[in-house]
Amino acid sequence: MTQPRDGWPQLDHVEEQFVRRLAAHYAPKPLTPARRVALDDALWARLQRQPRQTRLTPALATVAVAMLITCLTWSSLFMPPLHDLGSGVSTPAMSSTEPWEYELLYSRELTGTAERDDGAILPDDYLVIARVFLDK
Amino acid sequence: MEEALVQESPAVALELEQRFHLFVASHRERARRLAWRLVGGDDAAAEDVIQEAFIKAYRALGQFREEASLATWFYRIVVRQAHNYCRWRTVRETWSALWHGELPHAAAQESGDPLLRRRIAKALEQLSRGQKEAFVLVHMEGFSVREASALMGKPEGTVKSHLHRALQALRSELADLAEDTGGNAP
Repeated sequence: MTQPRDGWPQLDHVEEQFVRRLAAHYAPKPLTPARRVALDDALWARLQRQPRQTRLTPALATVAVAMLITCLTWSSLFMPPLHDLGSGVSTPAMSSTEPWEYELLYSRELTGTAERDDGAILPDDYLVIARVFLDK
Repeated sequence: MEEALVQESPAVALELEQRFHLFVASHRERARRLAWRLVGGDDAAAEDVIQEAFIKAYRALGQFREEASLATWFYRIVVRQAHNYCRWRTVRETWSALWHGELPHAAAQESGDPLLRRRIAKALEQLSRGQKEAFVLVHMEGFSVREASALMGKPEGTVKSHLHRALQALRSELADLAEDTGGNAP
Protein backbone atom coordinates (compact mmCIF):
# COMPACT_ATOMS: atom_id res chain seq x y z
CA MET A 1 0.00 0.00 0.00
CA THR A 2 1.17 3.48 -0.75
CA GLN A 3 0.94 6.20 1.85
CA PRO A 4 -2.73 7.27 1.98
CA ARG A 5 -3.40 10.95 1.34
CA ASP A 6 -6.19 12.63 3.20
CA GLY A 7 -9.16 13.21 0.89
CA TRP A 8 -7.94 10.90 -1.86
CA PRO A 9 -8.95 7.27 -2.35
CA GLN A 10 -6.41 4.69 -1.25
CA LEU A 11 -4.88 2.75 -4.11
CA ASP A 12 -2.51 -0.18 -4.00
CA HIS A 13 0.81 -0.01 -5.81
CA VAL A 14 -0.47 -1.60 -9.03
CA GLU A 15 -3.52 0.64 -9.17
CA GLU A 16 -1.45 3.71 -8.57
CA GLN A 17 0.96 2.78 -11.35
CA PHE A 18 -1.97 2.15 -13.66
CA VAL A 19 -3.60 5.50 -12.87
CA ARG A 20 -0.30 7.36 -13.31
CA ARG A 21 0.20 5.67 -16.62
CA LEU A 22 -3.27 6.66 -17.87
CA ALA A 23 -2.78 10.25 -16.75
CA ALA A 24 0.61 10.44 -18.44
CA HIS A 25 -0.55 8.97 -21.74
CA TYR A 26 -3.87 10.74 -21.83
CA ALA A 27 -2.86 14.39 -21.70
CA PRO A 28 -2.82 17.18 -24.28
CA LYS A 29 0.34 18.69 -25.62
CA PRO A 30 1.28 21.78 -23.62
CA LEU A 31 0.31 25.08 -25.22
CA THR A 32 3.02 26.75 -27.21
CA PRO A 33 3.55 30.45 -26.38
CA ALA A 34 2.11 31.43 -29.76
CA ARG A 35 -0.96 29.29 -29.21
CA ARG A 36 -1.40 30.72 -25.72
CA VAL A 37 -1.35 34.26 -27.09
CA ALA A 38 -3.84 33.29 -29.80
CA LEU A 39 -6.13 31.74 -27.20
CA ASP A 40 -5.98 34.83 -25.00
CA ASP A 41 -6.66 37.10 -27.96
CA ALA A 42 -9.65 35.02 -28.97
CA LEU A 43 -10.95 35.10 -25.41
CA TRP A 44 -10.63 38.89 -25.13
CA ALA A 45 -12.22 39.36 -28.54
CA ARG A 46 -15.18 37.29 -27.38
CA LEU A 47 -15.40 39.20 -24.12
CA GLN A 48 -15.49 42.50 -26.02
CA ARG A 49 -18.25 41.26 -28.31
CA GLN A 50 -20.28 39.33 -25.81
CA PRO A 51 -21.66 41.90 -23.31
CA ARG A 52 -23.84 43.85 -25.70
CA GLN A 53 -25.35 40.71 -27.18
CA THR A 54 -25.99 39.06 -23.83
CA ARG A 55 -27.46 42.20 -22.35
CA LEU A 56 -29.91 42.61 -25.19
CA THR A 57 -30.78 38.98 -25.80
CA PRO A 58 -32.89 38.33 -22.66
CA ALA A 59 -34.70 41.63 -23.11
CA LEU A 60 -35.46 40.92 -26.76
CA ALA A 61 -36.57 37.40 -25.98
CA THR A 62 -38.92 38.68 -23.26
CA VAL A 63 -40.40 41.31 -25.59
CA ALA A 64 -40.89 38.71 -28.33
CA VAL A 65 -42.66 36.28 -25.98
CA ALA A 66 -44.83 39.08 -24.57
CA MET A 67 -45.82 40.17 -28.09
CA LEU A 68 -46.65 36.62 -29.07
CA ILE A 69 -48.84 36.12 -25.98
CA THR A 70 -50.59 39.46 -26.60
CA CYS A 71 -51.27 38.58 -30.25
CA LEU A 72 -52.66 35.17 -29.32
CA THR A 73 -54.82 36.61 -26.54
CA TRP A 74 -56.25 39.40 -28.69
CA SER A 75 -56.92 37.23 -31.69
CA SER A 76 -58.75 34.69 -29.50
CA LEU A 77 -60.94 37.49 -28.07
CA PHE A 78 -62.27 38.42 -31.51
CA MET A 79 -62.73 34.90 -32.85
CA PRO A 80 -66.16 33.21 -32.69
CA PRO A 81 -66.33 30.47 -30.07
CA LEU A 82 -65.63 26.99 -31.33
CA HIS A 83 -68.43 24.44 -31.31
CA ASP A 84 -68.20 21.78 -28.70
CA LEU A 85 -67.41 18.81 -30.87
CA GLY A 86 -67.45 16.32 -28.04
CA SER A 87 -71.07 16.79 -26.92
CA GLY A 88 -72.58 14.83 -29.81
CA VAL A 89 -75.31 17.43 -30.48
CA SER A 90 -74.98 19.14 -33.80
CA THR A 91 -76.22 22.66 -34.06
CA PRO A 92 -77.50 23.73 -37.48
CA ALA A 93 -75.96 26.76 -38.99
CA MET A 94 -78.77 29.26 -39.19
CA SER A 95 -77.28 31.19 -42.05
CA SER A 96 -77.44 28.22 -44.43
CA THR A 97 -80.80 26.89 -43.27
CA GLU A 98 -84.14 28.35 -44.20
CA PRO A 99 -86.39 29.22 -41.22
CA TRP A 100 -89.06 26.72 -42.21
CA GLU A 101 -86.52 23.91 -42.41
CA TYR A 102 -85.22 24.76 -39.00
CA GLU A 103 -88.67 24.84 -37.53
CA LEU A 104 -89.60 21.56 -39.20
CA LEU A 105 -86.51 19.81 -37.98
CA TYR A 106 -86.18 21.09 -34.46
CA SER A 107 -89.52 22.27 -33.26
CA ARG A 108 -90.53 18.69 -32.34
CA GLU A 109 -87.42 18.16 -30.35
CA LEU A 110 -87.90 21.39 -28.51
CA THR A 111 -91.64 21.09 -27.87
CA GLY A 112 -91.79 17.32 -27.51
CA THR A 113 -94.95 16.97 -29.63
CA ALA A 114 -95.10 13.72 -31.53
CA GLU A 115 -97.80 14.54 -34.07
CA ARG A 116 -98.14 17.86 -35.80
CA ASP A 117 -99.47 19.15 -39.07
CA ASP A 118 -96.57 20.41 -41.08
CA GLY A 119 -98.78 21.71 -43.87
CA ALA A 120 -98.83 25.17 -42.50
CA ILE A 121 -95.09 25.58 -42.64
CA LEU A 122 -94.14 23.63 -45.78
CA PRO A 123 -93.75 25.46 -49.09
CA ASP A 124 -96.39 24.81 -51.77
CA ASP A 125 -94.34 22.47 -53.98
CA TYR A 126 -93.51 20.30 -50.96
CA LEU A 127 -97.17 20.15 -50.10
CA VAL A 128 -97.97 18.88 -53.61
CA ILE A 129 -95.43 16.10 -53.24
CA ALA A 130 -96.70 15.28 -49.78
CA ARG A 131 -100.24 14.95 -51.07
CA VAL A 132 -99.17 12.51 -53.80
CA PHE A 133 -96.89 10.28 -51.74
CA LEU A 134 -98.25 10.55 -48.24
CA ASP A 135 -101.86 10.55 -49.30
CA LYS A 136 -102.63 13.74 -47.43
CA MET B 1 -23.30 41.21 -12.75
CA GLU B 2 -22.29 42.36 -16.17
CA GLU B 3 -23.95 45.69 -15.60
CA ALA B 4 -21.97 45.99 -12.41
CA LEU B 5 -18.77 45.31 -14.27
CA VAL B 6 -19.56 47.87 -16.93
CA GLN B 7 -20.71 50.55 -14.52
CA GLU B 8 -17.83 50.17 -12.07
CA SER B 9 -15.44 53.06 -11.79
CA PRO B 10 -12.39 52.79 -14.10
CA ALA B 11 -10.11 51.93 -11.18
CA VAL B 12 -12.33 49.09 -10.02
CA ALA B 13 -12.81 47.87 -13.59
CA LEU B 14 -9.05 47.86 -14.07
CA GLU B 15 -8.58 45.93 -10.86
CA LEU B 16 -11.15 43.38 -12.00
CA GLU B 17 -9.42 43.04 -15.35
CA GLN B 18 -6.10 42.48 -13.64
CA ARG B 19 -7.70 39.90 -11.38
CA PHE B 20 -9.16 38.19 -14.40
CA HIS B 21 -5.80 38.18 -16.24
CA LEU B 22 -4.22 36.53 -13.23
CA PHE B 23 -7.06 34.07 -12.95
CA VAL B 24 -6.74 33.07 -16.62
CA ALA B 25 -2.98 32.75 -16.35
CA SER B 26 -3.16 30.53 -13.28
CA HIS B 27 -5.99 28.25 -14.44
CA ARG B 28 -5.59 28.11 -18.21
CA GLU B 29 -3.43 25.01 -18.43
CA ARG B 30 -5.25 22.95 -15.86
CA ALA B 31 -8.67 23.88 -17.23
CA ARG B 32 -7.58 23.06 -20.77
CA ARG B 33 -6.15 19.71 -19.69
CA LEU B 34 -9.31 18.86 -17.73
CA ALA B 35 -11.58 19.87 -20.63
CA TRP B 36 -9.39 17.97 -23.09
CA ARG B 37 -9.66 14.81 -21.04
CA LEU B 38 -13.40 15.17 -20.56
CA VAL B 39 -14.19 15.81 -24.23
CA GLY B 40 -12.18 12.83 -25.42
CA GLY B 41 -8.91 14.40 -26.52
CA ASP B 42 -10.20 17.08 -28.89
CA ASP B 43 -8.00 20.22 -28.81
CA ALA B 44 -10.46 22.58 -30.50
CA ALA B 45 -13.37 21.40 -28.35
CA ALA B 46 -11.32 21.77 -25.17
CA GLU B 47 -10.42 25.34 -26.11
CA ASP B 48 -14.05 26.17 -26.85
CA VAL B 49 -15.10 24.73 -23.52
CA ILE B 50 -12.58 26.72 -21.49
CA GLN B 51 -13.34 29.93 -23.39
CA GLU B 52 -17.01 29.61 -22.49
CA ALA B 53 -16.09 28.90 -18.89
CA PHE B 54 -13.69 31.87 -18.73
CA ILE B 55 -16.35 34.18 -20.15
CA LYS B 56 -18.75 33.06 -17.44
CA ALA B 57 -16.04 33.50 -14.82
CA TYR B 58 -15.36 37.04 -16.07
CA ARG B 59 -19.00 37.96 -15.62
CA ALA B 60 -19.10 36.47 -12.15
CA LEU B 61 -15.80 37.90 -11.04
CA GLY B 62 -17.32 40.66 -8.90
CA GLN B 63 -19.42 38.15 -6.98
CA PHE B 64 -16.47 36.15 -5.71
CA ARG B 65 -14.16 37.83 -3.26
CA GLU B 66 -12.07 34.73 -2.72
CA GLU B 67 -10.16 33.26 -5.60
CA ALA B 68 -10.65 29.72 -4.23
CA SER B 69 -14.44 29.90 -4.41
CA LEU B 70 -14.26 31.40 -7.90
CA ALA B 71 -11.94 28.59 -8.96
CA THR B 72 -14.31 25.92 -7.62
CA TRP B 73 -17.19 27.57 -9.42
CA PHE B 74 -15.10 27.92 -12.60
CA TYR B 75 -14.09 24.24 -12.70
CA ARG B 76 -17.68 23.29 -12.13
CA ILE B 77 -18.55 25.28 -15.26
CA VAL B 78 -15.74 23.54 -17.17
CA VAL B 79 -17.11 20.12 -16.19
CA ARG B 80 -20.64 21.10 -17.19
CA GLN B 81 -19.56 22.69 -20.47
CA ALA B 82 -17.56 19.60 -21.35
CA HIS B 83 -20.57 17.42 -20.62
CA ASN B 84 -22.78 19.61 -22.83
CA TYR B 85 -20.21 19.41 -25.60
CA CYS B 86 -20.12 15.59 -25.39
CA ARG B 87 -23.90 15.40 -25.46
CA TRP B 88 -24.12 17.53 -28.60
CA ARG B 89 -21.29 15.62 -30.19
CA THR B 90 -23.24 12.39 -29.66
CA VAL B 91 -26.26 13.98 -31.35
CA ARG B 92 -24.11 15.22 -34.25
CA GLU B 93 -22.43 11.84 -34.68
CA THR B 94 -25.73 9.99 -34.61
CA TRP B 95 -27.14 12.41 -37.17
CA SER B 96 -24.07 12.13 -39.34
CA ALA B 97 -24.11 8.33 -39.16
CA LEU B 98 -27.77 8.25 -40.08
CA TRP B 99 -27.52 10.59 -43.05
CA HIS B 100 -24.02 10.07 -44.33
CA GLY B 101 -23.18 6.65 -42.96
CA GLU B 102 -19.96 7.86 -41.39
CA LEU B 103 -18.67 9.02 -38.04
CA PRO B 104 -16.73 12.28 -37.86
CA HIS B 105 -13.52 11.95 -35.89
CA ALA B 106 -12.22 14.47 -33.40
CA ALA B 107 -9.28 16.43 -34.72
CA ALA B 108 -6.95 15.38 -31.95
CA GLN B 109 -3.30 16.26 -32.28
CA GLU B 110 -1.32 13.08 -32.65
CA SER B 111 1.66 12.99 -30.38
CA GLY B 112 3.13 10.35 -28.08
CA ASP B 113 1.28 7.12 -28.64
CA PRO B 114 -1.86 8.04 -30.56
CA LEU B 115 -3.15 4.48 -30.58
CA LEU B 116 -2.91 4.16 -26.81
CA ARG B 117 -4.45 7.59 -26.41
CA ARG B 118 -7.41 6.60 -28.53
CA ARG B 119 -7.82 3.39 -26.54
CA ILE B 120 -7.86 5.33 -23.28
CA ALA B 121 -10.31 7.86 -24.71
CA LYS B 122 -12.57 5.04 -25.87
CA ALA B 123 -12.38 3.28 -22.51
CA LEU B 124 -13.26 6.53 -20.72
CA GLU B 125 -16.18 7.11 -23.09
CA GLN B 126 -17.61 3.75 -22.10
CA LEU B 127 -17.90 4.83 -18.48
CA SER B 128 -20.98 6.59 -17.20
CA ARG B 129 -20.82 10.38 -17.02
CA GLY B 130 -20.31 10.35 -13.24
CA GLN B 131 -17.61 7.68 -13.38
CA LYS B 132 -15.70 9.47 -16.13
CA GLU B 133 -15.87 12.85 -14.41
CA ALA B 134 -14.89 11.42 -11.03
CA PHE B 135 -11.97 9.49 -12.49
CA VAL B 136 -10.62 12.39 -14.52
CA LEU B 137 -11.03 14.90 -11.69
CA VAL B 138 -9.51 12.81 -8.93
CA HIS B 139 -7.09 10.37 -10.52
CA MET B 140 -5.94 12.41 -13.49
CA GLU B 141 -6.28 16.02 -12.33
CA GLY B 142 -5.49 15.51 -8.67
CA PHE B 143 -8.62 17.04 -7.14
CA SER B 144 -9.54 15.58 -3.76
CA VAL B 145 -12.76 13.61 -3.38
CA ARG B 146 -14.31 16.55 -1.56
CA GLU B 147 -13.34 18.96 -4.32
CA ALA B 148 -14.60 16.58 -6.99
CA SER B 149 -17.84 16.22 -5.05
CA ALA B 150 -18.27 20.01 -5.08
CA LEU B 151 -17.43 20.22 -8.79
CA MET B 152 -19.78 17.42 -9.77
CA GLY B 153 -22.53 18.48 -7.39
CA LYS B 154 -22.74 14.97 -5.93
CA PRO B 155 -22.19 13.54 -2.42
CA GLU B 156 -18.71 12.33 -1.55
CA GLY B 157 -19.97 8.76 -1.13
CA THR B 158 -21.29 8.78 -4.68
CA VAL B 159 -17.99 10.11 -5.98
CA LYS B 160 -16.08 7.36 -4.15
CA SER B 161 -18.40 4.76 -5.58
CA HIS B 162 -17.93 6.20 -9.09
CA LEU B 163 -14.16 6.13 -8.61
CA HIS B 164 -14.15 2.52 -7.54
CA ARG B 165 -16.32 1.37 -10.44
CA ALA B 166 -14.43 3.49 -12.96
CA LEU B 167 -11.11 2.01 -11.86
CA GLN B 168 -12.48 -1.52 -12.07
CA ALA B 169 -13.90 -0.93 -15.54
CA LEU B 170 -10.74 0.73 -16.85
CA ARG B 171 -8.49 -2.00 -15.46
CA SER B 172 -10.66 -4.56 -17.15
CA GLU B 173 -10.80 -2.66 -20.45
CA LEU B 174 -7.09 -1.78 -20.48
CA ALA B 175 -5.87 -4.97 -18.86
CA ASP B 176 -2.54 -4.99 -20.70
CA LEU B 177 -1.78 -1.51 -19.41
CA ALA B 178 -2.83 -2.47 -15.90
CA GLU B 179 -0.56 -5.49 -15.80
CA ASP B 180 2.48 -3.80 -17.24
CA THR B 181 3.71 -1.68 -14.36
CA GLY B 182 6.99 -0.78 -15.95
CA GLY B 183 5.99 2.86 -15.97
CA ASN B 184 7.35 3.96 -19.35
CA ALA B 185 5.08 6.96 -19.51
CA PRO B 186 6.16 9.79 -21.80
